[in-house]
Amino acid sequence: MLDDFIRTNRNEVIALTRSKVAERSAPRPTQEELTSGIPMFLDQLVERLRGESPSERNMGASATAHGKEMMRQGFSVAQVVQDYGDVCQAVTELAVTLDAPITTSEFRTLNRCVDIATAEAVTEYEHQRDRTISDEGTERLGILAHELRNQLNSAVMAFDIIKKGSVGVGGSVGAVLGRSLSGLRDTIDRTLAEVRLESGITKRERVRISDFIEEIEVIAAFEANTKGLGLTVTRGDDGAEVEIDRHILASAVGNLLQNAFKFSHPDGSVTVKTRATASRVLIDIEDECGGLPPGSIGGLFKPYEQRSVDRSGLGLGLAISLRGVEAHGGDIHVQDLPGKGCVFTVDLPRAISSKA
Amino acid sequence: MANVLIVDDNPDTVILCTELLESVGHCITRGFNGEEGLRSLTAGPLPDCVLLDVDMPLLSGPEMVRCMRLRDAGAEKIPIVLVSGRVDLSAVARRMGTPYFLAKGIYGYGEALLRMLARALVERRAPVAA
Repeated sequence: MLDDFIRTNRNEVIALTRSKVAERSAPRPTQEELTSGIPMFLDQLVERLRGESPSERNMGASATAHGKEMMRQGFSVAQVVQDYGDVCQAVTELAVTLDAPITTSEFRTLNRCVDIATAEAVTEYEHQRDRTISDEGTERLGILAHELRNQLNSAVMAFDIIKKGSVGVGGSVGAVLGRSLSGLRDTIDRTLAEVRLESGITKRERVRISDFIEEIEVIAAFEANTKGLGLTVTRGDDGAEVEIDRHILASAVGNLLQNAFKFSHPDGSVTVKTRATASRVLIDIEDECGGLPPGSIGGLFKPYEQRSVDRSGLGLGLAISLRGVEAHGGDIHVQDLPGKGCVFTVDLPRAISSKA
Repeated sequence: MANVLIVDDNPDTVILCTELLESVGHCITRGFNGEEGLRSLTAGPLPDCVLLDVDMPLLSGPEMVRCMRLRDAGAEKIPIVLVSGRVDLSAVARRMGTPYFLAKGIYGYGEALLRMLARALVERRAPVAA
């Protein structure tokens, strides 16, 4: 019987399968796959061979368990498909080499089992992944709702206290109201930017980077003024152009500017500079935050990481900015200026000159 | 006029409540989590009332009240007004044993807070251990 053959020669089958997997160029094999994945796939196959006429419930439960296990161990769908195939080949080759008394019918059964095991495990794997994505989406929605509720509560309370007439609009209560309404706008804008990023860049337009910065400068100057900060914009590009989704890049640069305003010390200044090389366009945003905490650069762009004790906001702005810039084939670099501040540089590919 | 301790991790909430209560003559001290709230209790004269948030880092509102009881068996009889955006605020207040609680963000919040505080200062019902 084939399952007896596999049980008796389990170590040899595993060794032969490992050598096949190790030689594979794509998908590249992982240590986890070689160590524990291959024995797992083999055991799943034997389980299926033994229960060749199982009840439907057993088959479903088995596929569910296998899919969960593969998900837990971090295997990709390509690895699953290839590894099942390599296990099957190893069993066949070893049986032929040892001249094992395996019938043609049993080999057909083996192939059928591999096909069914692969299909069902991959299906359940996809279900698990969809469920994880859905759970992550629910969690993000919960965090978003919590943030919006906090900001809205502050705005309603501030408005109510002002309406009562015992405090002036121009004082700290008015400032709270303004801050809360701005916070609501920023949270919603950030969410819309995320939605656009999820949809992908569908339309790019060729834009002079200096014109793009000029549009952003209008709103940025107003925000800097309300926070009592200075804003200096210097254009050092040579008419360089980029091909961008204007909304996504404006959101990315806008987030970086809001960060700069948030963390710069009172009466400080934020500087925006554009420059260009033959192939790149760069936007430097320098703030006066006093410098970054040691060792913090690595976690800056992680979602929900907060840079300081000011924990207002979700901590998503930098993560979304990076995604927005990367969607344009660019990157964001950070330079710490200890004791002074830091510089975030948006690095984008320069559009080929239309004058060429 | 009374000494009121405001304990909330949202700086804007602290600003708003401070402005409102000071505008009617109350004296305010502040803490941004339960630990700071406890330190305030020992740093100066005891407050006449505490305006307390529920969910805070380091030490929550209910945990702060539990510590207050452990340290002095509630001898001071300081009424606690629980203020939070939680939907189960009434249940939290019931478990804590305080009859004074107010939801954040309701319309007429300012007037409601002043009335709740006035009631607490008159009745002086400190939280009763559950």
